[in-house]
Amino acid sequence: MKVTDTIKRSGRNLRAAKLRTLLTALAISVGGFTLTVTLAASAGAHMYTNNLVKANFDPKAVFVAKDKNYFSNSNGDTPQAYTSDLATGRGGTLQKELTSQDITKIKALPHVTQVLPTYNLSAQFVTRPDSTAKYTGSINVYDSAQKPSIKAGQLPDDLTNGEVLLPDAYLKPLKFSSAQAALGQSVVIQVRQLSGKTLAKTYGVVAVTTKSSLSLDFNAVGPYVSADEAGQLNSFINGGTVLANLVPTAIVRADSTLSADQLKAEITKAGFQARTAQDLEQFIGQIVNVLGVIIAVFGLITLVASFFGVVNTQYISVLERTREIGLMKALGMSRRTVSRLFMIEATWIGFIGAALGAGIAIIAGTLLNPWISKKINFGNQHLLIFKPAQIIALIIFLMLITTIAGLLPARKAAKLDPIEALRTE
Amino acid sequence: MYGKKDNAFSALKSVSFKVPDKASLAIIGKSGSGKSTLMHIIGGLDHPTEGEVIVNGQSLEKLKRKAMDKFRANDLGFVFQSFFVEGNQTTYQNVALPLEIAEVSVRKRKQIVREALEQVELSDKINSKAKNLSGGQKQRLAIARAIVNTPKLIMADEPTGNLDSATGDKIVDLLFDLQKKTGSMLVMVTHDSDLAARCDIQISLKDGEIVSVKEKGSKKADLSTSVEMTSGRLADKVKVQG
Repeated sequence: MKVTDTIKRSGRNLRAAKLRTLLTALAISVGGFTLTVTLAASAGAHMYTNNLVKANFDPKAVFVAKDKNYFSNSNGDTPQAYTSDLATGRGGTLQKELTSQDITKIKALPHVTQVLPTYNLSAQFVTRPDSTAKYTGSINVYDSAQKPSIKAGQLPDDLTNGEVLLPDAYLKPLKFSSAQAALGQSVVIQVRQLSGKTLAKTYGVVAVTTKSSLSLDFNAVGPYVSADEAGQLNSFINGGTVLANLVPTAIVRADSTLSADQLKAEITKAGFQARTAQDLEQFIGQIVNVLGVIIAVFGLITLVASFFGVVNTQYISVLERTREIGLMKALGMSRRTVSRLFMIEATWIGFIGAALGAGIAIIAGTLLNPWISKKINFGNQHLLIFKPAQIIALIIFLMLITTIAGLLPARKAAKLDPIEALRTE
Repeated sequence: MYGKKDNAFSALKSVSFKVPDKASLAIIGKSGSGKSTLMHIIGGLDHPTEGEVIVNGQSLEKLKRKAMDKFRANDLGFVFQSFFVEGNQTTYQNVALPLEIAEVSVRKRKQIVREALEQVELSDKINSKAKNLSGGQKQRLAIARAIVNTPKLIMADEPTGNLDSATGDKIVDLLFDLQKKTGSMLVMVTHDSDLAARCDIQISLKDGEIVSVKEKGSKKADLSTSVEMTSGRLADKVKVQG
């Protein structure tokens, strides 16, 4: 019997037992659904982390720290040997930080164009001239290569001293009627030394920033000032202490002749710890992968259950159709064809189940995507991204699984003795 | 040989006959006489524990499974007492099965099936589900299925057993008609003596042995040697020794 005729005949046999076919296929479809959703969520999460990293980390930039524990999470169970560059005074785990000599050293590396220290500064309060409304805030360094989203005004290439970007979260507390109204107005940032001495500086608002769904909260909300201005504030706040000379991390950029990886290699060679945006992406990607694997395992477990479902159904089907099998063999159908007929039925069940599961997953996913995105703050991004190639591969995989499940019943059918089979009434 | 150890018994003991060309042969006997076993052995469905069946000078016992399948697909047609039609399939699909097994192309198949259905006067039921047919129609369908591959040998196992006498007579007329038209050999297993009387040769079995042979017309059975059946189109011997 030709394979095409076998496929047609097995399809017809399945149609003759629609309900049973559908129920068995439904068992497979649970696995198909779970795996489709897993693949889609995994694809979506990867894309999201990609975008997240892209939005928050300049791919050309390298993040530099001094302590080898900075980028790993091991805080160490044994005490560290003391060195003068340990940042005593910040509390928490003591880590080596970048000294001004280190910054100079990095700046002197070939092709390095920019070294942007991150200071971790907090304002005592943020206010407006002649206002009693005082609010806390961190002092963030404006990185022109990593522009925040804006609500009003224009982002300059670089801030000059005396200019500030105000997050929209301050509009209401500081009693600005709108983002537009805040432009050109003055805000006062007051900082305080450990000794209690304070310094208040007045800045003009050049733009109002807003938080995008992709921005990560590394720092508490607070106004952006220029790197130079932040340096001056740091000198005042930490003046007279060891911290005046230390910064936890710095962002380093090179000219176009060096890729981020090459720059990272250079900086590592100079004795510092460095990470590129890609490194971070991989790190987050790993977490996403682990989560994906966990869900996929559940999907595979449901597959095991449905595997035996198919074995069972096909086995019963063979028993029910003993007479038919006997007839086919009496008419000269070969063992191989009888076996193939039942195997292909199982393959069909796999196809129907997989297509059903994937189809439901795609429809439900597409409908629910906006709601999910809203719930988990994904912004315009969708959590579930269905890739046709993945879904086709999944369907083929499930067809393979059910074909294997059909193996045993098919063998049973092939081995039936036609006379015995024909005696069955 | 059936059963195991103490329960073992031989369905057939010593069966020898020779049937001339294009003859119709009735194997008659009560249940348990071994008539079905003899037919199964001739049809290559069963294997004798001793002796052999020879086709084209080739022992069926020595045929590889594939060659046996081919023999059944190309040279044999079966008609059963309980029809064995697939109720959920259409008349066309039922009749097309032997052609599918013999790997006949779809276009040829359609034509051949139509012709076969015309012969049994079921053309108008070509697309009906087999389960919606009457008993007589089902058996006519089964006959169409048996002749669709123009077999050299048509095997009919109690073809009228499940039919009322009027319908049964029509079916038998049809079988003999087709046998004459196609020049096939007809081997019929029955316990109905009226039906058996219509065959050229009647062989009665009892407890696995031939008890009598009746012949009519020019066609004679030869019991002198070992069992042989010849058909003009088969042009070979089918030899059964039990």
